[in-house]
Amino acid sequence: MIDPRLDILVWAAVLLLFLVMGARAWAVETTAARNFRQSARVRLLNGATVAAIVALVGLVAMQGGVAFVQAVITRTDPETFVTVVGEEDNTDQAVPDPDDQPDAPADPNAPAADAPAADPNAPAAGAPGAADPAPPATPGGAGANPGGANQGGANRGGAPAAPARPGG
Amino acid sequence: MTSTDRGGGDPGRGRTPPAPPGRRPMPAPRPDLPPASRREPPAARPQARPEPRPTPGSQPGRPSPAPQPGRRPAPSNAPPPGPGAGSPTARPSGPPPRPAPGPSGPRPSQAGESSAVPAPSPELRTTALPVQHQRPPVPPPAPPTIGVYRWLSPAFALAAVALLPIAAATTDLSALDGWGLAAVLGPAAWLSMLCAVAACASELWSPRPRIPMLGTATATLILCSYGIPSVVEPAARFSTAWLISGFVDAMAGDGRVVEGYDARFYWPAFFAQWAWFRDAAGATQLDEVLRWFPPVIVGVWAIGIYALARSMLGGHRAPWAAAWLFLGLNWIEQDYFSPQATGIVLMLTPLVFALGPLATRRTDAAGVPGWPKPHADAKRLALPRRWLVAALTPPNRPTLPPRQLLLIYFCAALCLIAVAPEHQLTPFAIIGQLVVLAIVGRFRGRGLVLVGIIAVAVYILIAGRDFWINQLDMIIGSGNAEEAIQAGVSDRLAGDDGQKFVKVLRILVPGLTWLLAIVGAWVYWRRRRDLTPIALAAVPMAFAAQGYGSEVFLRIVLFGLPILAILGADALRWVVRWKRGMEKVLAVGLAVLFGSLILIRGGNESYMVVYPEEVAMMREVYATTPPGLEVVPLVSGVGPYAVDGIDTHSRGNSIEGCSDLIDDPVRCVDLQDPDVIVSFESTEAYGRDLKLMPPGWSLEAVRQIVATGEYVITYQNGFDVVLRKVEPAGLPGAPR
Repeated sequence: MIDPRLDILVWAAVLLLFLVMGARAWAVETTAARNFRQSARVRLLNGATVAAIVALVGLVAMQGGVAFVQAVITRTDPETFVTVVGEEDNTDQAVPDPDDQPDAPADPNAPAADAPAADPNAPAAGAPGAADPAPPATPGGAGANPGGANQGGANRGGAPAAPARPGG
Repeated sequence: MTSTDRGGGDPGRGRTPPAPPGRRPMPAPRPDLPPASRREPPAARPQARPEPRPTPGSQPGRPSPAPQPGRRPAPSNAPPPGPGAGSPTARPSGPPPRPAPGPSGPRPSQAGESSAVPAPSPELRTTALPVQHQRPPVPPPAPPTIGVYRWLSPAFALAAVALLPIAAATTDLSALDGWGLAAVLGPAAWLSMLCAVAACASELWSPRPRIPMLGTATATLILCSYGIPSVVEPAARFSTAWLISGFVDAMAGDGRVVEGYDARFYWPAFFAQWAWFRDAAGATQLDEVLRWFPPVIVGVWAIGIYALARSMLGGHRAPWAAAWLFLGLNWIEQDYFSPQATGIVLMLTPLVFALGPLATRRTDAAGVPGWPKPHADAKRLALPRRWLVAALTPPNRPTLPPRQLLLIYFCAALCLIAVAPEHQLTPFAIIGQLVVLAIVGRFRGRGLVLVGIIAVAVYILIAGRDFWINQLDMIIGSGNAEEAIQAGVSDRLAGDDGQKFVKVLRILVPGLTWLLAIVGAWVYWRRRRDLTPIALAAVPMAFAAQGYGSEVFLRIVLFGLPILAILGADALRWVVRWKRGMEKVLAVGLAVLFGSLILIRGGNESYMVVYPEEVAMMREVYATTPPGLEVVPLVSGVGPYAVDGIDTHSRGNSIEGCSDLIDDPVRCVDLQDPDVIVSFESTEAYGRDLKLMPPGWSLEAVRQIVATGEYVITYQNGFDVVLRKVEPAGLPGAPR
């Protein structure tokens, strides 16, 4: 089980590791020690680097590394055993094929497809007027572009000045 | 990997840098010695001077210092030496030699006393080098006269640039066919390219090549070869460049990636970078950036190749030849507006650092290059043991101040971190090359390898979690190299005669490149006893094992090409040194190479060309089609069909047997049921030149679709067609 909210810990560990490695590089390059002797601060930063790497590896393993390795070794689809909980969505979803969307809910007033066509001149039983016709389904179905997230950020400012309408 | 364990080594590496002219290089101080001992003159190396015969009473350790060459001797009270004063045989009739003092005897006379002391016999004199007379100052050599070369290269460069507008005016793009751009270019374009080659060659022939002029000539060469499509075509070529422009457009504004559209959105750094540029500049599109991006980015690549070659080859002329060779051999069209184009820059930068200022050699305690040994006579260790010893032995410190080293580390680490979200393949190429260099101990800063590995691993595992959860197959690949070869080589040999000829050339050129590079590797080996460069070029071949896909061979050649070109330049330099007259042959070869480059790169131009009217048509289509509807091109991969609407419109689903609508127009349109169908002039050329379909096939397909009664043509301009689905009147987007 992977909790994306804990990813911040991984990024913090990466940042910490890079900082420690930078400090170690500074210590190594500015120290006056020679002949493979290391100064105390280099030894200290070596230990800190190793600790930071261990912490990072542990966090990465917890946040999906183990599942990834397992999926690669066993060639198993990770979708079958990886569970991601509490995911924060910060992406726009691609527009699905409108033909894949479920059809518009059937109008209960609409006649059944296999029902015999009613005589349009015959008045409805018990009703003063004719029933409203079923509204036409929107092109591509009712579920086209659900959520409307795409429309909010869609090409904002990117639409050029429209040239002459092609074909008119 | 290298033969440095046998004592061979790079003569230019690990040495004290040469001192300025006229000054004797000073040995590096040893901080572990007391200050007094640092002032001692360095002991003479046995190889430099024969072992002196021990003379009783002499002080072998203190020879009289010889004056430093090029330095005026210090004034002394000694009289000016007479004739033959410095020669031991100049005074054969002098007084008998005084016995040499013993160890406890009086100190030998100093220079000021030499006139009072009779000269010893030649047998008993010191073994120090004879005193050298001050020679009359030699006047510095007169600077070579440049003569006509001063103006030749600028004149050629100016002529090349001046011919470009004529080339644009005399190129007939409507005549594009399977032979591509080369067949329709006017004579001015070819003459421009020849002038650019002449500008480069003439400056290189100059007695004193000027670096600014060589840089200008190289820029002109890039403009007249890589920039020719940008010059003669009214808009950026290549459908994928417009697709990526659409990706940038989708990220502009809200800065959010589009999930579920394209796997490239899992590496969004390039799109985000240009979306930020676009928003910051207040622009609404990047059309001109797309158009001029290839020559500019190739110019940046050439700078990297030049810097690499300066480190690997040295000299004043060979690095430029390497850069031109790289340009001439790089037919792989990855320089369009794309993440991998920027990724190459981020790959070359750490490589230039590693082989340039960070380059070093691993030496043993005595300073001998090679695998570290406990002592000189030690038996050769087993290979794993040598690897272990090498891994634990830090490479020597380059002769740079610590602050410069740290700045280089920082810049290299920044590039390695930046390339992780930029492109999916480039990080592995540079990490592989750095690993090779680290194993053989050729650069200082092995922590950079760790930085690169951590950046890539964490990015893929954490930021690309959705990618590997949903598309693990793309990471582990098929592993089927045979399929990759078939898709990348044999399946591409299709089309008319022009297409086949160009594609055969595309296969031949990498083969010849590798052949030339192998010769260069042999030359490099003879000079430096080093096989590391050819290993660096071979590292990207690991991608073939992953089974990346049909483009894997393009990537292998592209990532290895910088090193291959440098090795090739080394081979050509060897040829020129062998026979001087080959320079002219190579200059002609350079012209032929760039001519073939235009032919190969522009081979697909008939269906890669994009016209501004098509871009405007697509933008109008998206502007007038309600969001959520499906816009599908007749053939995907050609034309600017995705310049817009990435996050607002659907592209439909992939249907078995209908990868493109042209596979079976009526059936595929019926199954796909798009709301809008678009076709371009490049669509027609794609079928005509590559699929050998009869001319006018795209209009025939349009006619069949219209004949179903479900679609009507709402726009047509030649082969540019927009079809819309017939909907009940009154619906938004329905054709009127």
